[in-house]
Amino acid sequence: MRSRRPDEERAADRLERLMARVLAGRRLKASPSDAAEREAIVMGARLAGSRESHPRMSPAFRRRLAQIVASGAPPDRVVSRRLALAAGLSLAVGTVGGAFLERLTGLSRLGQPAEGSRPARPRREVLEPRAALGRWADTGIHVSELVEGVPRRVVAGAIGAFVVRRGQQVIGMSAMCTHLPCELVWRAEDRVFLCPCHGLTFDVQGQSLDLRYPLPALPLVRVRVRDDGRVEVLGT
Amino acid sequence: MGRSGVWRARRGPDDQMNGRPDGQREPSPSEGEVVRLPEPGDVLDLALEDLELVYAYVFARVGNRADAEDLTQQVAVRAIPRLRAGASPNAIRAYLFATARSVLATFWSARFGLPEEELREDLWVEPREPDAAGPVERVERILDRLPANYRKLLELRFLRGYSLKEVARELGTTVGGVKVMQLRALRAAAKVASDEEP
Repeated sequence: MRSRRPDEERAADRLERLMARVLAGRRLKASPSDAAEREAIVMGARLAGSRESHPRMSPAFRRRLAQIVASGAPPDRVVSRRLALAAGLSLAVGTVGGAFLERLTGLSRLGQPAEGSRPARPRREVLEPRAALGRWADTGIHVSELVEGVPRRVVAGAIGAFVVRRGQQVIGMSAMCTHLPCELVWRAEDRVFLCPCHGLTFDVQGQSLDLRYPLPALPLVRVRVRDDGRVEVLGT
Repeated sequence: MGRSGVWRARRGPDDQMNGRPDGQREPSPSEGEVVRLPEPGDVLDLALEDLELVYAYVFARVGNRADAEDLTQQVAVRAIPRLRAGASPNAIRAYLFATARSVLATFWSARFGLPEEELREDLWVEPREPDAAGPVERVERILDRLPANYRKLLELRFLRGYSLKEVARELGTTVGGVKVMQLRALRAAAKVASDEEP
């Protein structure tokens, strides 16, 4: 082997760090200081890319793309894979709803905000469990026990949720962080939902409070109030 | 909107199936219209299958799923709204791949802090059409033209997933030696690729 020069060893070390990441399935973190070795870096990426002769999208990513294709419109911003993954995980555990406190005999229609309420924020997930699996679960909470703006943790089968009273509405939202599937806790002193895994926070409406790295809002969970005032959540 | 919804496509003077997908002129919303295609489900499936090909194309160039998914999504977000209703499948695919090349150029340009034009000149050796041969075959062709020690190192490290230590043991050298040889081997492979894919 030819003798090694110090600058070549430095370049080799740097290249190895980049390639080790890529070979581990992580992003290529090349920077302008790597431009001198761009041909080698690109070739390394190509070699890494040839490990799979027929790479296929993951099912979760394919579903997300299907949404983009079906709507024909780009999302508000390009959502990173990480955010998309978080959103996908959230969808698995939550669906939407809101219910009038006044005498409900039926359900509020999905995706239609109650009259006089704030319109639903764009792109907030609106889903419900498959018909065969969904069932209304009694939370054991009477509507009169709900204090304005103070969430209560409830469980409806596989769905963990918070229900919160907002004026004449009771709103339900998933208790799962949209970053990673960690269960949120309500911090009354700060009036935020806190993700214990990474410290991310959401306000009482379920909107992300992290301005640097905003996450999707917590998916809404369908809620209704029975004639006798008991709060029910659509779970599994 | 679910799968049963319509495919929205803009029609306008700038709506071209060929050419630079990230052109400066963007039709304003007033120029656009919503077009209901006869069989939206088929079109959706068609587009998704094409995006599978785009994903494979991108993955073969960036080598990791995370970047490949981000870039494929960028292609979808950028290209799908501009597709013209009634376009042939070939035209749709050509436009998606043109967009993918543009997105990839931007990706490398941002990584290396170089203008895309410069990358095209000395690095951007992408074929204009989707690979006739698969990425594996193309890489094998490149490896075949390398010296035996370079070829072996790259095969062990990149194709078989050996660690540096394992490669060093296999080649009878040190980890430091493998790193330097890896750099030289990748430079040599890049030179072969640029000679082979003008």
